Amino acid sequence: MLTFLFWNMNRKPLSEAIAAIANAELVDILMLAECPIEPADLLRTLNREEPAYHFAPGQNEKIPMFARFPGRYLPAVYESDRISIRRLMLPPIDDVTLVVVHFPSKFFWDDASQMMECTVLANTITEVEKKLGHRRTILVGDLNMNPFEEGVVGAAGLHAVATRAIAGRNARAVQGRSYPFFYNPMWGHFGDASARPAGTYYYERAEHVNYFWNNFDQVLVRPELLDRFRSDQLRILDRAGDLSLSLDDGRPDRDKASDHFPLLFTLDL
Amino acid sequence: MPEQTLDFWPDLSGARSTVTPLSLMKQQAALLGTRTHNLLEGEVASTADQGRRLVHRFLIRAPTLNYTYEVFRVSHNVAALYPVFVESGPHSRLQTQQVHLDSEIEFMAWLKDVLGSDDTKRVLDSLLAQIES
Repeated sequence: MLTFLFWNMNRKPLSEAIAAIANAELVDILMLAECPIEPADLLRTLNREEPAYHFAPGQNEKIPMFARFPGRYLPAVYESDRISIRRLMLPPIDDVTLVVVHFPSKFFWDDASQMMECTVLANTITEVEKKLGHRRTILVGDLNMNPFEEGVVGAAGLHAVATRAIAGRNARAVQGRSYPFFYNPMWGHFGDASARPAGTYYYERAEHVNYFWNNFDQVLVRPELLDRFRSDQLRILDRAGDLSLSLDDGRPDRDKASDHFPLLFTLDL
Repeated sequence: MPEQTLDFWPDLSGARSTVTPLSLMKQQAALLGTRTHNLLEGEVASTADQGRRLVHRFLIRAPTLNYTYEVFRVSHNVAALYPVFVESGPHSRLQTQQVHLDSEIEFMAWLKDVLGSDDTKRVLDSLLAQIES
């Protein structure tokens, strides 16, 4: 089993918090966005007790990645300034394609632009999947969109749906074209039905439509990996060891920590 | 007397003199292979987005590393070459404002700026170092 952590750090120097989560949860692959810490500095903190972590280099410096194995087992195959697509190749398990994304904020891009960005990303993922010869793909990152938005749900976008049963159909044809599904477990992480955080990001403003809680940070799973992915092990974290990442009312504490909560999940590989 | 053929099409001679964004990008892409003895290859991948616009991605491929880097992505309306909209690229200003290039001259200046930027040079240097290590 491999444990993955994604966290948009909001440019905060949260080395100790990352190390606390990494060590407590035995994180195998650590993916960061808006990380202001130099990789070497973060490695020193991560490896203070034992030299467990390695930097997994790529050309995208905005999405640094670390792993509990040498970086050569997680090479980049396609990158841009917003995505890093890695090939997870740990013998003897089958390769998995890991797509890590940090999309532009809603402050800067309108809904139409975000939707189009998803279309381009979906095409890029399809190209990489064809090249690598399989669809054992998992996407994680800060999409700056909710799971219900058109770019995430739309067939020509990421085509990520709320249930395993629908995603298990593998693909759906629209106007004669076939579009592969992703399963999006983040649909199950809205609201206060459990004691866990009501989303990964909180935003409040004086306008009529306001969701307050958002799940901008998401993990999407291709049908080919559904039997390896356990929904009950996907967690939005509001603590990092002794450090609370939230305020008393549950919102992310953007002063002490980040405005996003970290996302933790596992794959049985 | 033969019937005269009527031609209602507009004068198309001017269209051929317009340099398209795609051709400018392809020229630069082709030069990368020449400059690096094909250790790195430039490529432009184009797609039509729902029939409304053409999206061009400028890619650097490192065949021996099995690696591709997208340097930038631009788009324009299917029916008009300009303005060209910059959708992603190495400049941080792209995070905060939509860059549009209204003419061939503006696009050429922008392309020169991006390909010669420190960000692009860092990627090229890093890839070449990995290939030759």
